[in-house]
Amino acid sequence: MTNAIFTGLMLGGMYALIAMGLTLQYGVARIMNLSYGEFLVAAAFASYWLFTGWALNPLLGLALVIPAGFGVSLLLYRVLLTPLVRRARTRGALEVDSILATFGMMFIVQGIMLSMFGGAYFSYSFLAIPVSLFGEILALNRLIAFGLAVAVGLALYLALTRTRLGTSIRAVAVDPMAAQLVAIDVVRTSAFAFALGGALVAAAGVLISMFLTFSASSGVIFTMKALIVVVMGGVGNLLGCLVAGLALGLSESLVATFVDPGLTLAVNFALFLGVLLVKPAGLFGRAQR
Amino acid sequence: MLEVANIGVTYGQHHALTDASLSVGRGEIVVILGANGAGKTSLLKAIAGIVACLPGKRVTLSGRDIAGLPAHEIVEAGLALVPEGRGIFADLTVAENLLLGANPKRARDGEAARRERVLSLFPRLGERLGQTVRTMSGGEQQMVAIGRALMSNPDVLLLDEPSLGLSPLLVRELFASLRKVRESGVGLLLVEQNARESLAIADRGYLIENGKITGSGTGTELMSNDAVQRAYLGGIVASAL
Amino acid sequence: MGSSVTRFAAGLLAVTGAALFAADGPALAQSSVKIGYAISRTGPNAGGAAVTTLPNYEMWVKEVNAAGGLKLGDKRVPIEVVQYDDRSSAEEAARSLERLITQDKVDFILPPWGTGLNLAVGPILNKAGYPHLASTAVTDRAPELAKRWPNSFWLLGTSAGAANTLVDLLVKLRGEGKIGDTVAMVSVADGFGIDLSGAARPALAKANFKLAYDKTYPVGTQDLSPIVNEVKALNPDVFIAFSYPPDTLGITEQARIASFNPKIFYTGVGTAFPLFKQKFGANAQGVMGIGGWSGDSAPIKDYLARHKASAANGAEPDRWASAVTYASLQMLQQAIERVGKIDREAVIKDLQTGTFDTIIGKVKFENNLPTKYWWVGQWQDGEFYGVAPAANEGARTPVIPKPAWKAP
Ligand SMILES: Nc1ncnc2c1ncn2[C@@H]1O[C@H](COP(=O)(O)OP(=O)(O)O)[C@@H](O)[C@H]1O
Ligand SMILES: [Mg+2]
Repeated sequence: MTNAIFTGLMLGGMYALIAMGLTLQYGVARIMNLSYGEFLVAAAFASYWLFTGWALNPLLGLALVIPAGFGVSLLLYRVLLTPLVRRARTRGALEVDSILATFGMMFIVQGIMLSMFGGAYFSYSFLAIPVSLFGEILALNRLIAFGLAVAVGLALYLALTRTRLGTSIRAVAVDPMAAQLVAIDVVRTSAFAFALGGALVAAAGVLISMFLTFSASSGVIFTMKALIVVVMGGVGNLLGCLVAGLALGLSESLVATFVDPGLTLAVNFALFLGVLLVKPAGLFGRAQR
Repeated sequence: MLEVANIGVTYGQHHALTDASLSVGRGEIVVILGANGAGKTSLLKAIAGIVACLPGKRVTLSGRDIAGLPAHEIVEAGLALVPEGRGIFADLTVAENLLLGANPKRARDGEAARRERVLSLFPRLGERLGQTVRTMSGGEQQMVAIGRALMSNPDVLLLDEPSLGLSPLLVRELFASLRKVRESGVGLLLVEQNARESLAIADRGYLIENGKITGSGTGTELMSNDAVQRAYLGGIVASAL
Repeated sequence: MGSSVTRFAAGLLAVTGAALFAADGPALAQSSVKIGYAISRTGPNAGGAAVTTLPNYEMWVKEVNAAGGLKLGDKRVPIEVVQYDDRSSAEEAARSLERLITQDKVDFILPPWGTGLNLAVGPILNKAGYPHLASTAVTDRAPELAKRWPNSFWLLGTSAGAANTLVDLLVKLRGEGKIGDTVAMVSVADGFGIDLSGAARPALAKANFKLAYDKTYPVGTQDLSPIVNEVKALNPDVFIAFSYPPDTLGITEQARIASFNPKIFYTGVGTAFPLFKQKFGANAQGVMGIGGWSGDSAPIKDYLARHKASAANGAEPDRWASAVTYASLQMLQQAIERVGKIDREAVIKDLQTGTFDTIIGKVKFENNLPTKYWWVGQWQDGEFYGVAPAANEGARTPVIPKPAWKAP
C-alpha cells in the first residue's frame, strides 16, 4: 500500500511537472502550444547530449537547459507569436491562430531533432539507484524529480500569489483588457509568461530524461498528458496542476497495484471526465466569461 | 492639465466620434452628458489609448504629449480610466486589485499612504480585503474599481458611467466620494447619464450628440440649459441640491 | 500580419520539405533500378524504423551502388531511391505506396517497419504484383497471408512460434532442474503483447506452469514500478514481459532498482536493441528477450562491423530483425540478379523457389515462410546470442539462473 502511494505520488509529481509550463503558456499567454511536448523532448535530448558527450550531470545541466528554454521560448514568442497576438481580435481567435502556428512549430522542432539524433529511442542511466524511504525502495532519480517538481510548483505558486510581478501575470491571465488599465504591458507580460513556461518545460524534459526512454517522436505523448492535467486542474492554475497531476498519478498507481494495470488509462480518463462533469472549468478553474 | 483636441474614432465605416476637444483642469470635475450611443465611451477609450483614433488629434497631460502612446504607458503618464462595466479583476481579491492598481512606477512611492487614503474613502473595502471581487455587490465593485484607479496615483481620473446600476442612495454616496477625490487635486472626467446628480458636483460639462460635442458650460449653466432640461432632467428646473 | 502568414507558410514548406526525402535527379530510363519505400520517419513507429529498418536499407543501397549496381544480365545498373515518410500511419503508408507505384513507377518496393503497416500495405503490393518481403512483422496470420498473397514473404514468423519456443525452453530448463514452475507474465495491451501473451497463456498452462501473475498494461505507461513491485512480492522463477522498447527499458530498470532478480528475466521488443546494452552495460548479462542472432558466426560479425561503419553515429544493428531485414535485401538482390531483368513476376517466383545465401545463413522459403527463426536470445558478455530454438546453428546454452544485478 505505502509503495503504491509513493509510486503514485512520484508519478503524479512528474505529471504535474510536465504540465506546469503549459498552464502558464495556455493560461496566461493564451497560446495553445501544440509543440509543447517537442520542447520537452528537445530538453531531454539536450540533457542526454550534455551527459553522454560532456559528462555533465543532468542536475547541473539544468543550469544550462533552463535558461536556454527560457531564451528560445522568448524568441519564439517575439518572432512567431507576437504578430499573431497583435492581429488577433479576441482571445479565441488567438487560440486558434496559435494552434495552427505551433502545429507547424511541432514539425520543425521534430525535424531538427530527427536530423540531429535520428529517430531511435534514447535512454541513459543517471542516479538509477535504489533508496529506501519508510521501508520502501524507490528510484533516486524519480524521487529527485518529484522533489524538484513539488519545490518548483510551490515556489512558483508563491511567486505568482505573493509578488507584484506574479500578481500582474495572473491579472493578464484573468483579464488582459483590464490589465492594461493598471499599466501592465500585456504583450511583454505574456511573452514573459510564455518564456517562463518554456523554462519549466525544459526543466521537466531534463528531469524526465533521467528515467524515461524517449525519441524524437515522443513529444505528442507529453503534450497530451500535459493538456489533460492542465484542463483537469483548471487552465492557468499551478495548484490545480499539482493536485490534478497527483490525483492522476495516485489513481494510476493504486489501480495498477490493486485492480489491474490494464485499467490505468481508463481510470485516468474516467477521473478526467468526472472532474469536468462536476467542474467544467477544472478543479481550480473559474467559469470562463 | 488634460487637454484634448480634435480626437476622432471610427469603427470601420462608422464615425463614432468626430473632432472632439475638451479640457480638464487640476482638481476639476468635468461631466460629459450624452444619450446612449452618442460616443461617450469611445471618447474616454480614445483618450486612454484603448481604441485607435484618427490622425490629427492632440492629447496632452500636464503639458506632455500622450497621443498615440499604448494604454499601459498612458496610465504610467498619470491618466487612469474606470471603464464601463468597471474592468476590475473579478477573479482576484480586493487586496490584489489594489496592489495591481499601484503597478505603475509612478505609484510606487507613497503606495502605503495612498492605500490608507483609499481605504478611508471606502471603509467597506478595508473590511473585505481578502474577498474575491466577483462575489461583491455592484456598489462595492465600483468602489474597488475607483480605488484601484486611485492607487495608480493619477493626475486625471476618467470614469465611464460609474452610477450605472446603483441605487439612488449608493449613487449619492458615490458622488460624495468623488468630491473628496477632487479635493486631493485629481482632475475628474465623468461620463454620465445621471445628469442631475453629476451636474450637481460638476464644475463644467460638455454635451455630446451623434459623436460631436454640441455644447459646454459650467455645471449651473448646463443645469438650466433648455436642451439639457428636455433631454435629461424631464423639463423641470432642478431644485438646488 | 502578412509577415506572420509568410513565416508560417515558410515553416510549413520547410516541414513538408523535410518530411519528403525524395531522391534527386531525373530518372534516366533503363539506366537505373528504381527502388521505393515509405518508412516511418515520424510518429510512434519511428523509433523502431530508425534502429531496424532504415540503416539497413541505406547500407544495402550504398553497398550495391558501390559495386556498380544490381547485375542485370551482363551489365550493372545502379539503384535509385524514392522514399516517403509514412508518419506511422496506415493511411499515409497506403497513399505513399500508391504514389510509388503509379506516379514514381518504381521497379521494386521495400516494406515499411512493423506488423501493422506491413499488414496494411499487403493488399496494395499484392494487387500491383510487387514482391513483399516483410522482415519486421510478427503475426499469427503469416501462413494464411502467405497463401492469400503469394507475393508476400513473412520472415519473422508467428507469435505462436515465439511463445511456444519460449515455453519449450522453459520446459527443458525445468526438466534440468534449473527453474521451478512459477511464472509471472505481463504484456502491453497492444498488437504484439496481445498476440504473444495470447499464445503463451495456453502453452504455459499445457506445460503445467503456474501462472502467478498475468496482467496487461496500456501502451505508453510511464511508470511500471507497481507491476514490478507486485511481481517481486510473488517471487516467481520466471518473469516474462511482452513489452515495447520504452517499457522494456523501464521494466528492466525498475527490476534492477527493486532487486527483483528471477532465475529467468525475459523482456520483449527492445531487449535486442544496442541501446539496451548501452544503458545497462554489465547488468544486461543474463537478460533474455525476443530475437537473438548467431553472434559467433563470421558473416554476422562482418555485418555488425559494416553496419557500424555505415550507420549514422556508428549505430549498431538490433540483434533480431536487423539481420533479417538485411538478409531479405540480399534475397531480393539475388532473385533480381538471377532473373536478370526487371520482371517482378519472375522475381517473386524465384523468391518462392530459390535458395539464398545470406548473413543469417542459407534461406529457402517453404510456402513463403522461412524454416528457421531465432525466438529467444540472451545477453551474454555484451552480445545478444540466440539461445532457442536450440537446434539452430550457432545456438548458445542459456546462462541460468540470471546473475544478480550489480550496482551501476
Ligand atoms: N467596437 C465597436 N465596433 C463598432 N461600433 C462600435 C463599437 N463600439 C461602439 N460602437 C458604436 O459607436 C457608437 C458610439 O458608441 P459608444 O462610444 O459606446 O457610445 P456611448 O458610450 O455614448 O453609449 C455607437 O453607435 C456604437 O454602436
Ligand atoms: Mg458608453
